[in-house]
Parts: sequence; C-alpha cells; structure tokens
Amino acid sequence: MDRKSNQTGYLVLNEEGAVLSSSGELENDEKTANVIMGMINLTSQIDSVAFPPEEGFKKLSIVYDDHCYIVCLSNKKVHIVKKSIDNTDSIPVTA
Amino acid sequence: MGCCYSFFCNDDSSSQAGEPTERTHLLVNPVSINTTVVHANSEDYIFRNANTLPKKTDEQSALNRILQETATNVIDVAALDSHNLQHHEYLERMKHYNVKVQQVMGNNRNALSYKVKLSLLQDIPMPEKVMMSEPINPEDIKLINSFLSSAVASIQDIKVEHKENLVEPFGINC
Amino acid sequence: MEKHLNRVMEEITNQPGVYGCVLSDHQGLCLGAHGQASTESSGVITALAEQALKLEPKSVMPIISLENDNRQLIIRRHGVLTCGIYKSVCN
Repeated sequence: MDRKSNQTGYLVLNEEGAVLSSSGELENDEKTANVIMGMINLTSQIDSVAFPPEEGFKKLSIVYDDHCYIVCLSNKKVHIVKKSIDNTDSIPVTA
Repeated sequence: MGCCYSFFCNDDSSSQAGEPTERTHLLVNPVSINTTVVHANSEDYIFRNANTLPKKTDEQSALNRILQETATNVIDVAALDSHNLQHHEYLERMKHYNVKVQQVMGNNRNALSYKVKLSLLQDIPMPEKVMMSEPINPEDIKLINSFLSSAVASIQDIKVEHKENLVEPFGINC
Repeated sequence: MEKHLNRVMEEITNQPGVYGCVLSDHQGLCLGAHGQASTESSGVITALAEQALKLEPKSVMPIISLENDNRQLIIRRHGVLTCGIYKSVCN
C-alpha cells in the first residue's frame, strides 16, 4: 500500500476524453487528458509483425526522471495516475 | 424563429420611429418588399417614395438606380427562404430526417464502431492492479538507453559514399 | 556506413526477451528494423514519441512503455532518433 502513497494526482476520462473526475496535480488537467487521449487513439495497431492484430495493450506508462504517468482503460473509462518515482533505487532516465 | 416572428409582426407602429429596433431587418428584402409594411430602414423609405410618387425627379431616379444596383449585388438571405414552414411541415421533415439518419447509422454501424475502437488499450477489469504496479523495469530503462546511445553514435557513421560521378553527361557525343 | 547500425540493432535483439527493434528518424522514416519487427511501425512509433513530448515539453524526452501480459514495447526519442524495442514478458 505504501506504493500508493507516491501518487500525486489522478484523472478519470470517458471514452471521448472528457474529464469525469480528477485530483491532485492532475486536477482538471484537460491538456494532459488531451495529450494522452491523442496517444491511445493514435492507432489500434502498432506493428502487425511484432504483435498479433487482436492483441491490445493493458498499460501505458510514460516515464520521466522522477515521476511517471500510468494509463489504463477499464470499464470504458481511461484511468490516468501521476506518480513520483523514488530515484534512489532506479537508474535515471537521462540518456 | 426570431426572424420568422419579426417577418409577420413588423407592422408594429413602434417601428415607425426611424430608429433600429429589435424588429428591424438586418438585411433588406428588395424582392418581396411590401409597401404596406413600414420599415425602419432608410433605403426602404427611398424605395417606397419612388413607388408612391408618380413624378420622378432626377435625384430620385439616380437614387433608385443605386438601389437597383445594390439590390442586384446583395445576396438576400431572407428571400432565399421565401417559403415559410408551417408547424406540421417541421414535424414532417423532422420525421423524414430521423428516418434517414437511422438508415445511415444502420448501414455504417460497422464502420462507426470500428472508429470508436481505434485504441491502443484494451479494456481490463481491475485498473487498481495496473495503477499500483511499477511503471517500468530499471533493466528496461537501461536497455533502451544503451540502445539509443549506441544508435546515436552509429548514425554518425552513415555517410553517402559516392562511387560514380554525381553529374552524368548526356548526349554530348551526339 | 550502416553496418555499425545493423550491428547495434543485432546486439539489442540478442538481449534476453528482446525479439525486435525499430529505429526511425524525426519524421518517422525507418532507418532500420531488426528481428520480428516491421519497417512500417516506425511512423507510429515516432508519432507516439512526438505526442508524448507534448505532455511536458520542458522535461527531457520520456520513456514510453506499452504492456500487456505477454509483450512490451518500449519507445524513447533522443534528438532526431526514435527507437522502439519489442520485448516478450514472462510473468
């Protein structure tokens, strides 16, 4: 449960991308909502060779140095959480 | 609807004041102009005077000509829809359009639902489990970073090696 | 020439779990694909990276990861290059 404590905000969107509920750093953050909807609605198939066509993804993560976004679709709603990352035990993202 | 209302009710005496009111037409209707209806617009006064007075002065005919020229150049929105819809006609059309929309929806159901389905993510039952999970393995971060840095380095090696002449002479010998 | 690049892609594909990789330029042109990966995916991968950049334009380019029970796709952009790695995940 201590993992949940590093959550800094969340967003729940409907299938059209409208904000249903939100809190914390993502409170009414329509810009983030639009960008993430733009990502998941970009295509339904990334690579027909690498992935079977009927297979979707369950989780989308966007990872920065010290925080990340995790996105998933459940019950026709898009759930987005923003979390801070404990930097001590992970390798920094800078290339 | 406001437009239709004003169309029927503009014999209101208050509009004679010469000032624009809420009943004043935005566009003057030169085609279906009715001399019994008093319009507040100044151009209408000219037109009405021109019709009622049998003797036309030069000034009046000049003004009339200007009005005619303007009238031919104006796209009259009010005149385009000269047929006023009755209430039952509205209902009839509504019914007709609804039937048409239903037909199109029925025919293109597959295409429409395909569009909605255009999503990278699949619907899962327990979002909490995914939300609680770690975003990415540290090994994967290392993997992508090492790939990216070596790819950036190796991309520097790509150069165009030209072995033949870039400019080829054509038809010189002919 | 691109021999070096091909070797890099080969090395990555030989890593445990990795079964394919794609490399594309900033416009989505495929610079190379190795293993079980199609050259056509470079455009989508670049578009995803581009879209993710809008999330926090001031931050460094994030790592994008897409997962399901069996597979994972990791995308990152650096400068003009965007790369994608396909991995199989065993849980």
